[in-house]
Parts: sequence; C-alpha cells; structure tokens
Amino acid sequence: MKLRMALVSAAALVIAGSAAAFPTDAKTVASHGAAVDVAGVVIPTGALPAAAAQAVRTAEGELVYQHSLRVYHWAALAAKRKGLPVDLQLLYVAALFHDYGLTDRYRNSHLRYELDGANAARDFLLRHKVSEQDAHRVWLAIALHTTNGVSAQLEPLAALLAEAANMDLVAAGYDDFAPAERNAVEAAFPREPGFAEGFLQALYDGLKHRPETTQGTGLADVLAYKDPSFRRRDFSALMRTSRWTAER
Amino acid sequence: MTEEVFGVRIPDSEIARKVTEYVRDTEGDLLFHHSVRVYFWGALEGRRRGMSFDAELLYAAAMFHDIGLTAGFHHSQLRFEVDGANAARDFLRSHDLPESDLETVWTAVALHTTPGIPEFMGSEIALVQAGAGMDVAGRGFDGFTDAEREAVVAAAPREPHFQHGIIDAFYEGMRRRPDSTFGTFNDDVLAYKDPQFRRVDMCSVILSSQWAARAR
Repeated sequence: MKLRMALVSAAALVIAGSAAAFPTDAKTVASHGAAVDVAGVVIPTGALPAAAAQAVRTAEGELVYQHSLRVYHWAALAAKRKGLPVDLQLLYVAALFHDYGLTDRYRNSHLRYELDGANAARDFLLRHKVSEQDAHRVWLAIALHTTNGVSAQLEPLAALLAEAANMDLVAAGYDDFAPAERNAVEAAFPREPGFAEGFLQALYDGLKHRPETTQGTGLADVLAYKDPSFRRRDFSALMRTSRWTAER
Repeated sequence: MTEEVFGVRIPDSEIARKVTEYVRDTEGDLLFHHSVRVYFWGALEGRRRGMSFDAELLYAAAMFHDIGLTAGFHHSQLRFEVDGANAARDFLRSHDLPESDLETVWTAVALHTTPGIPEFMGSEIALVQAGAGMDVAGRGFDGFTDAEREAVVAAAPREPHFQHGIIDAFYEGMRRRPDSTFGTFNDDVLAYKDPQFRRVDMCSVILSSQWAARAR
C-alpha cells in the first residue's frame, strides 16, 4: 500500500509540474519545471538543459528517451549515495545524449554509435559555450559508456553514466537503491512493458547498417540475436589466421 | 636490443631506460619483444600519418600495455588492461611526470583493446592500439613496407608461433578473472582455450535481468 502511494504521489508531481508550465508537452516539462523532484533528484533548469532535452526528445523514440531520463536519475542518486562530486548539468546532458547515436540521423554513419552520441553532445555543449574541457569530459563519458570495466575507473561523470546505464538495462546495482527511489523514478519515467526487447530492437535499428562497428564489443551479441546470418568475429581466430601467420 | 628502426628510435631518456628495465624484469621475452614491436609499429605509423606524438609517452604505454597479464596481477579481478594502466601510472608518477601525461599513458594502456574509439583520442592513445592490433592480428599490415616489417622483427624478434604464445599469455593472465572479459573480445581467448568456458551473452543478460523478471 505504501508503495502504491509513493508511485501515485511521484506521478502526481510530474503531472503537476508539467501542467504548470507547458501543458502541451508533459514529459519535456516534467524535466524542466523547476519544482519537479524525483526521489530527491532535480533535473537542472535553464536554457541549456531544456535545449538538450528538446534536441534529444525530437530525435529519439519514447522508449530510449525515458531510458535516458532514468539513467540520469540513477546516476544522480548513486552520486549522492557515494558522496561523489558531479556537475548535474553535464551529467544530465551526458545521460540524454548517451544513446543519441542510435537515432535516424546516424543511419549512414560507420562510426561506433557511442561516438556519434559523444560527438553530438560535445558539439551541443560547445554551441552552448561550455568549456572545451567539460565538453570533452562528456564526450569521453558517452564514448566509453559501453566499455565494461574501464568506465568504472574513470572520473565520476563517466563512471556514474556507465553504472547508471547498466542499472537501467540489466539491474546492476539494483539493491543499492531504496525501493522508494526505484519506484519514484519508474513512476516519473515509465519503463514500458517489453522494455528489454524494445531496447534490443532500438539497438539493432541503430546498428544494423554498421555491424562491423560492433565486432569485439558486447554489441555484437545484439547483431547475433537479431540477425541469424551475422557472425561474431572470433578474436582468437583473428590472431591465429592473421597476415603474420599467412606469411609463414 | 636494436634501438632504432628506419629512423624511429627508442627514446634515449632516463625514464625510458627505467621503463625498459622494469618491463624487462617483469615480463618474459615474448611479451617484452611484443611490447617493443608495438612501440615501433605505433611510432612508424604515427610518422607515416604525420601525427605529432610524444615518443617517451608512446614508449611507456607500449611497454606497459600487457603488464597486467603478468604474475603480479593474476589474482586481480580488474580487467588486465586496467591493471596495466594503473601500473604504468604509478610507475611514471614516481618519476615525476605531470598528471596530464600520466592520464594519457593510463588511457592508452586501458583502451588498447577497445575497438573504434582510441583513434579519435590523443595520438599516443591511438598509436598504442594501432600498434597492438598490427602485432597480434596483422591489422594495418600492408601499411608497412616489407623492409619496415623485417627491421622491426629483427630488432625485437617475433617467435615462429607467436600467435599461440600470445594466446597462452592472454589465457594465463585472464583465466582467473573470466568475468572481466564480459563485453570485450578477450572472452574469445577463454572460449578457445577452455572448452568449459561459456561466453556471457549481453542480450541474455538484458532479457533476464531483475527488471524483466519483475515485469513478468
């Protein structure tokens, strides 16, 4: 019962926040009405965060967009819990753009999708007069958010982004969050039924024209899952049959 | 050891000498010579592409790039690349290099097995990855002349069955920490060497997580 109450009140907050400011676009405003607080985490207000949300929202489907907002909240909550200093505005932009490389505008890109998102975020921040150094920090956090085991060793911005993406996708660190925190975030930024399959589809849609960029990364599994004709490249075979050995 | 190949030299500095000595004492011939070749491939490629790079940092990163596979790290649960990156950073810090240089070397070692990203970072980071790919998998093989390849291999011998030796070294360095290979291509080495090993599939992890279980 208590749980249900928490869900309802978080949802009410969102609705109240959006109705107050821009009645036509509940979710974007939920993100930018100054008073909205989900589990103690506030989304940064101001022109830059609003423009970032706008840019990402118009390019991404709802499923990935809501995922990105949850990632921001998991990251901000983890920062608070661990006492890590983090610039919430940069974290918000990094979370928003972290899967931006999956969108339609990169259907001709042959870079890793993480790089497309990283480059878009950096360009966005530079256009908004954020320093080169901070823009680079966001670039690196997005570029390496799928590089397991390395991202955790980086500065808080990058470590938190990767950790939060894993929380939202595979529930890594699930029990480190209080049930009330999880419920509030989920109520404000709903995980649709079938999210896991839907997310794998979004990954595939963003990657299927560039399968070569997934080789040697975890994303090759997505190609293999969706496309029976896809062959993961085997690194050990690559070493055993390289030009070096053919020369002998 | 030959210190020069087609005008590319191993840096003649106190730090470079200390690095050589340390890695020489820590690694066997196979990894040591591999690391020296990675430096030469990286430096030759950097010169060919007109990149500016700090030869001393490139050398330090190339020499330390596989040190995380050595016995001192066999019981670590971190990725071997991270162990090597940390070791390089600690070593260089004790020789008073500036923090920004330490970060460059750390990143070059940490990302040397990460596909598709180092080439968009600093020269030294890009070149260590390129050099390692050339030496283990022949990536960019044709970008080097026959004479360059022969000279590098003469300077730092590549044993006849190097590919099996390096696979064994990877396996020995990672078999006690199989989880650290998830989502990387290092798990292919474990799968090749150990028929019992099962790669973890990212999609299965996503589809069977606590979130998905809750939704059912």
